[in-house]
Amino acid sequence: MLEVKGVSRYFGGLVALEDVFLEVREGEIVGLMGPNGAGKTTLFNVITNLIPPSKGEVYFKGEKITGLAPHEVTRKGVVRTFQNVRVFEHLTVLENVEVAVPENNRTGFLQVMFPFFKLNSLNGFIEEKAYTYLKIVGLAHLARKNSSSLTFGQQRLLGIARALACEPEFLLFDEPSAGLNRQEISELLKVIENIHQRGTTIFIIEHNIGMLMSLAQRIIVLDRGKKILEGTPERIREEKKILDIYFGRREKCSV
Amino acid sequence: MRRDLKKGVIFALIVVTAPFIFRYVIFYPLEPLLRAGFFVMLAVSLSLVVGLAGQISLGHGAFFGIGAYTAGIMATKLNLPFFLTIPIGTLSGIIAGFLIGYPVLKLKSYYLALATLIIGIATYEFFKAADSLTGGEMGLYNLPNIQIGKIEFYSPFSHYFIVWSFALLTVFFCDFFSTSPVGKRLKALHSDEEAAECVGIDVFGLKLKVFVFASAIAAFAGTLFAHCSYGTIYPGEFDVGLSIKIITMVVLGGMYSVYGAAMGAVIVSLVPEVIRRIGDFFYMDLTQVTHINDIIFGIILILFMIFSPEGILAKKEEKSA
Amino acid sequence: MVLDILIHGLEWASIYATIAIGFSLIFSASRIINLAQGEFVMLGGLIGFSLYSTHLPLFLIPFLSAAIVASVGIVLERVAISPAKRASPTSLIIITIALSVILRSTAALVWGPHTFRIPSFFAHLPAGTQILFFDLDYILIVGSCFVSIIILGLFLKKTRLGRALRACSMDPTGARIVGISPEKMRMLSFSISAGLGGMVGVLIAPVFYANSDLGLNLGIKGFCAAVLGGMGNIPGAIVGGFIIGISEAMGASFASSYKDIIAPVLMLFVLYLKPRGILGGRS
Repeated sequence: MLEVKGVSRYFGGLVALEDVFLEVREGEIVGLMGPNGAGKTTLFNVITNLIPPSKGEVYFKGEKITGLAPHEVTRKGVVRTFQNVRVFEHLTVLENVEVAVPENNRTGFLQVMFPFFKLNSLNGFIEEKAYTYLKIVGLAHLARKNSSSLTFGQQRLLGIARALACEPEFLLFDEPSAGLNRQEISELLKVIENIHQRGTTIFIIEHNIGMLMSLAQRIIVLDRGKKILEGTPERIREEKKILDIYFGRREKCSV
Repeated sequence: MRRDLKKGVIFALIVVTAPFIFRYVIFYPLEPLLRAGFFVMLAVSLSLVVGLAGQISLGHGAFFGIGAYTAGIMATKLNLPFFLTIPIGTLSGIIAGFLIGYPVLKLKSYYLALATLIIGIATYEFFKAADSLTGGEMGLYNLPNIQIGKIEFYSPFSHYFIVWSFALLTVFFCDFFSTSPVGKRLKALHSDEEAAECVGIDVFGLKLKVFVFASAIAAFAGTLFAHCSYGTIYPGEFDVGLSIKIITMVVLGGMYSVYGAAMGAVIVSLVPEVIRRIGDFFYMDLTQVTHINDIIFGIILILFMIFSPEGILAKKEEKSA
Repeated sequence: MVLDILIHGLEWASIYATIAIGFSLIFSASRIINLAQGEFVMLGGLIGFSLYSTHLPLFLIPFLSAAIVASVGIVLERVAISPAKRASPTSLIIITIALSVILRSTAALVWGPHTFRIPSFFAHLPAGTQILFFDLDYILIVGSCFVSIIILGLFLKKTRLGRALRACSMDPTGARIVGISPEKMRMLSFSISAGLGGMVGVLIAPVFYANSDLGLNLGIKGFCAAVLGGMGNIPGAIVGGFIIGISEAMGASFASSYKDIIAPVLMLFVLYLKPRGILGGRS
């Protein structure tokens, strides 16, 4: 469903991504892991086109999405969440989700001006839709609250509800468990599994290896911008290389 | 919704009774009230750009001038009637808004502020420089009054009610707009542009649309202004000071609140009048009083920026959201 | 003809360049765009006029005016900029705009709406005295700007204080760590910029004029020059000043009524094509 073909990304002299080829098939949950600075978030940024790749292309359902504006990528069905959530502080919890609902996007300037009276029912429809997404993540009771007053864990869930509201076929999670306590993580797991069961393909960056192992069907490992491993969780677990990467290389030092 | 309706009705009542009180009870000319009407339209339209979308535009007065001059030129050079000068003038604002907005809105925060400031200055200089078209420093004169069919409206009262009808419409509509789905998307992009982009919001397109929309309103106000100005308009009325006044109104009234901006407009228009009267009482020269006015507003603006950059009514609005 | 334009343009170029340096200096030290810079020029001219009326020795007047305006700059920084710690860059811009309005109106109140002229500083010499075919006033203006720029450059490069200022402009946090106070540097930059502005104001008063509206016009041009060369980039400010000065001189000979629009238009071009300015300022 999603194909990354030969993507490289350079920042001046810094190599963030080098010649990355990978594929995520429809209906899978694929994990992405690697030490800090490996380029995982950069890869997500390139896939959604927040940053253009220096080389290479990304295809979704056979169609090239590299070069599209980020909001167009989202409308094609490829949606991401952020590591630091980034809720819309000026909006309430419910409104945060509302603006992501496609019907909201289709209500532009002209619709506000002319079908003046249809607007009420349209508003109600959008609100209801947004409510259902809040219910999925369990935040419905906080709907009218200002989004900045939520705890970090709740904001995380709000970010997921918002992403769901975009009606994604392909969801990119960027370290969803970061900053959450154990209870919140198990809730998160349930939510993600729920989403997967409804048919959404999931690509997830995680540092929480236990969580990744139990969720993902396949794991891709990045290091220093390159893809170095790919396989089932069991295979990855056995690879010695992982220890090397995460706990430091043993390099010959000439003293 | 109901609370807003009450606010709106009270506001409307005040607007309707004010001129009568001014004329027949305090015996005060209607000009300041008329000017306040224009400022309300300007401040409210700017509040959409600055408050809702968070784009700082320091050159909003330019569109007012563009609308006024276009209408004025259409009326004097081409002798077009009122019902044509208005739409053409508004259209010029739309076109200008698009041409200016497209490159400018790509700039980030304070480059945007600077660019819009300079646009304001450049249009003012243009009005002064293009003698043959705009009458240069002297401006345009012999501008006709508002004329609908055979009826010519020349009394201050008629001007007042015409302008304020539109002002009220603008206020109600923009307030409605700010709680609509588009308004929410604007607030979203105000909060976080990248995140908004990633939930499917066309950030640049939306910024441009609201900018053009606001410019259109400003230009429309300008076209009315051209016909209500006792027949003349001159560049000095559309200088940087105007744009600064408008942003002051928005800041004072609460950057996030349409009604607040309207309040801000009324305050900034009328308070100088009050001060002027006090100045008269002490036999001070008119220009001196104007300067004292400017100083006072400058100080108020600075204090606002230091202590509460969000404006007076913002706190109330946040809680009701 | 072309030489005439260049010579005339040079006079304005040095004026705009000095004002532009005022903008860039403050910006480089504190990331603040001080839109009241032009008013320092205005104050210089008006204060110069008042000092002239007190019959002080002529050669003292420019120094004293510059010093007084520099103090005003410090006062403004302490009173209006320093307290606004949490303000966003845009709020600071609005603050400096408000400051310029206050300065202008106060000046209009104190000195009235009249335009003042003071005689040339060389009035006691025979009229028409020239050095190398240039008017003495012209030499004074261009020369003083030139000399001030050189002194400023030396100050920034050779003195400890100057280097502290440059360090602060490159990395305020790093500077703080080594004991440089960005707040003090900001105050210093305000006083220098104000002093420079004041100097320009008093020097052009004999050739031009002095009134309370002067600041707006020159401030805008100087601002455009600073942005043109790269806000925060002092050599850039000089380049920008020259471009605008010469362009205006050329424009004046072709289409004089459009002269004043050249500077804003040039600045807009730069903002669209290369927002960081020709020589690349700081962000």
